[in-house]
Amino acid sequence: MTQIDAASVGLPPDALRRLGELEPAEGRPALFTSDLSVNEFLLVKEAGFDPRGLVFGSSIYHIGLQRKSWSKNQELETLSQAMYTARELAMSRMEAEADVLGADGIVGVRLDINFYDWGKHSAEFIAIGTAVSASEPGGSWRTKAAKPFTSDLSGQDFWTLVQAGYAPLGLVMGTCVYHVAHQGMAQAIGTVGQNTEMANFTQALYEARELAMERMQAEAESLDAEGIVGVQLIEKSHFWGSHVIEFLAVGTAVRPLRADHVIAQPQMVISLDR
Amino acid sequence: MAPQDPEAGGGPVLPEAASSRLAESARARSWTSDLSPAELVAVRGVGFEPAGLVLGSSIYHLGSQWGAMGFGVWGRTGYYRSYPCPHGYSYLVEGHEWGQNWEHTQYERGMEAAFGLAVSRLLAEAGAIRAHGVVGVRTTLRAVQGMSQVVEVTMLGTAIRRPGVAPLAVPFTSHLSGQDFAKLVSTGWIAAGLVMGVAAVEADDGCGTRQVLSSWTNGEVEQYSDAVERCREIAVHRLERAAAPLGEGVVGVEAELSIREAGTREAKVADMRAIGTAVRQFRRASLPDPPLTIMRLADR
Repeated sequence: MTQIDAASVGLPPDALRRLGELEPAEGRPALFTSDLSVNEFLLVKEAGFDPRGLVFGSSIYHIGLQRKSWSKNQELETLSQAMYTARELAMSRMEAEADVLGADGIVGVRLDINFYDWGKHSAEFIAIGTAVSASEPGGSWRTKAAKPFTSDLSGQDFWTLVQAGYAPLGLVMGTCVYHVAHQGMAQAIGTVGQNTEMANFTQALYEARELAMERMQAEAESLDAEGIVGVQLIEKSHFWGSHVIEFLAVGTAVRPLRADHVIAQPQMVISLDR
Repeated sequence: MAPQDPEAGGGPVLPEAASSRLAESARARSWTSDLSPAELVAVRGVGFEPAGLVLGSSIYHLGSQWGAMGFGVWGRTGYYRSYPCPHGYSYLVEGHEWGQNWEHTQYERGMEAAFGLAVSRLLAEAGAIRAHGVVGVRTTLRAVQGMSQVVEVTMLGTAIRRPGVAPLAVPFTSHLSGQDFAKLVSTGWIAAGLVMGVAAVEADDGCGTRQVLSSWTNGEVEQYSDAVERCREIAVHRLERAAAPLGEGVVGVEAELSIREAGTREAKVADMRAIGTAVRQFRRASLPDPPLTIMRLADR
């Protein structure tokens, strides 16, 4: 059943032991764990899936240094590559855990970065989600590489997506770490008291976002996805100061399950909650 | 924390003030709760009524464990891994120390015992007012100021009961809200118990790790990755082991990993706590009504 070699992606032996105990065995029924809320849990069930277990992967990654010129707009490839590889490592370990469980996919994936004071220039990249399996066997929910699907959608979004005739394929992402040029003295003096577009800055941020989104789109295309839903574009400087920014585009690639994508007409409600 | 085996804490479980407060509210036939109005309605809607606000608390001294080689009371029983010098030096060469990752088993057992004591008191209070369970349990953990290695664990929740049903041997506990509890009950699931898992793994840098950290190039810090991964696995594994005798699954797991200093040593300790509610199915049922797609007219 398993498609991923657990040892080659760096899954610790504890993980295999823990996941093994979730499976049913002699005198012991199956057990699942999940960080789904009750709403999510019930809706995932209603969508025809059973939660299998909390799965995660993490990687502590040392981010190298890169020379950047003070007055130049440029991508910092070393940093882009570090941010991408480290997330990919965490994701692949999480996928390997789901694969050990024989799950069809992972919902509610969260990608986080934690900067501990644990070493300069290093960060923990973590991916956490709940592995799920279709209640009715025989469905083809895995990706074309026979890996479990991944999705950062909540249980509610997952239900809605399946109702509307789509299936999640994979969490796709693209990242670009960009150095925004500092303004020269002459330039700064030239714009005093004037309304003017900062062409340099505009160009830098524009290009960096486009690069991140393009990379995300390329990932979706390699999965043969029809489209991407729920894209978030996240901009963070982490520990690099104000002129170095990471642009991360992340979303869920989806494929159609059927031709029409109609859901029941929504009812309007006035919520009595806050 | 399996409520079936409340930790054998010495002395009377409940202080006198607790017994008299609970007795007073039983006499007055009134109840207190920290349920919101919506939670109250939800809990009543599935046939339960509030019995009273219940509390469990423990102030606990965590024993020390000196070094990976186990000079602590429990010895070296947990996860251990050494990272030899990549340049081939033996352990004692200055600047080429070996790295090691090791589990703080003494700390883990202490934390579990402290949680166990707080849960057993919460259950004793719930039992004293003939409640069947406690919902919305909030757990707080804090270090007691001015005392080293001393923590306070407090659990607060609302005890509920189902009128006309015999009391349970051990009431259930849950960190779920009243609404969540009601949704579970109406779809055939019952909260079976609050479960938790704790793990702490210390990473003492080896010279190989220091080399990666001071390099100019990208690279995974394998020793740290392993420490953190193991820490998560061990904590969730413990939570799952606690849940297995109680129910078929665990929902709403809240996990928190932090990195703290290891006492006076320079090393760092990854510290993970996971808490969730074990659930058990008592009736096969789908949602009473199919989910209704709605358009919210509020901000969110």
